[in-house]
Amino acid sequence: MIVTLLEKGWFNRPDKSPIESVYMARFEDAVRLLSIDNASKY
Amino acid sequence: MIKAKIKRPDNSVLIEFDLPRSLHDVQLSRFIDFLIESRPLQKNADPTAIVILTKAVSAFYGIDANVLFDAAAGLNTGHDSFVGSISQLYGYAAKLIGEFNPSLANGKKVFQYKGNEYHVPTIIEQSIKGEYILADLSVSEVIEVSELSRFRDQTTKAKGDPNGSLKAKFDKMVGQKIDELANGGTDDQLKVIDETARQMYREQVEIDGDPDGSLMYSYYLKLLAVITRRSGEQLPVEDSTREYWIQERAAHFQEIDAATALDVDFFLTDISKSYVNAMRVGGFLKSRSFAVVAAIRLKSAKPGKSRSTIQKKSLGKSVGGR
Repeated sequence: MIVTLLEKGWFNRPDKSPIESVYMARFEDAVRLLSIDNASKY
Repeated sequence: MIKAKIKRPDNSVLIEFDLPRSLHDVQLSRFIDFLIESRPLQKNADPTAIVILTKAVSAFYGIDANVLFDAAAGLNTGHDSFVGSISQLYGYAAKLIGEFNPSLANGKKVFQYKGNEYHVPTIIEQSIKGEYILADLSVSEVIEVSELSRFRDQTTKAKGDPNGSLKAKFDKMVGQKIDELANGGTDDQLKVIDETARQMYREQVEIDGDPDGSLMYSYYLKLLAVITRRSGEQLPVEDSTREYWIQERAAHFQEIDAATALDVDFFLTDISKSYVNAMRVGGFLKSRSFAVVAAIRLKSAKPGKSRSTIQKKSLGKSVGGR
């Protein structure tokens, strides 16, 4: 999950590193975006 | 907390101890010890029940076990035995557990511990019925909880069923049960057998893999460390800093009360129950507590005096499948 979120860069913040941005992201938002992203592939 | 005393026949005090009014007055460590000591009581007609009761009471109330054992045997007491008092104390402990209500109130739940206020993220039900605002957990918090659960499962299984022989034994038992069913059994029957066997296997692995409850205790301390937070605090992002932070906070929570841990436990089982494939991150404390209460209630259940002896009239044949 972390790797996918890092690749997508959805939660990147200018004041934080990419990994920090992912760790601080809201879990519900991450899951929702991943679900939408997965659904769009089919 | 109030002071309780067990007195000798001459009214001198045999034992004096603190009587908890609720699970808020019982430390998690003692509560888990009580659950562990109570495990054998769930087997029927255990001849050493009084020994088990005494150990469990000693754990729950923090009473010296040697003093209690002497009291149970009537040594130095001027009385035949104080077994009745010990049974009553056990019953009282089970009553406190049975009466516990998890407080998963709307909005942030807070608790006080050693002069600090901690927030527990909760699920908020919206004014539109059935709609919920989920707990505000970050990606790192969820991953940490998942890792704690995975580690606990892995360690328990490695100790409780290292070579898979216990699993093979339960699979064989399931196979035998299915063979006994007429025509291979219905889907519902097979589902019940499978679910029951899984539950029994999990419980046995937990008993064998965590015999003294130490894994469960450290799991809940770390869980509290990850999920609960003081105002303005955030879980460190850097891996080694985060790991150190969790260890320190878990050590800080060593004297946490059982009620707070149970609240978090109920919260975790509440949010994951709708997900069939969800990782099991909670419910261990809850299920062990339920087992204790269920065992004591089953043992003390008596036939009702008002049981009707009137034979009920049988219903006529069903019409239209109703």
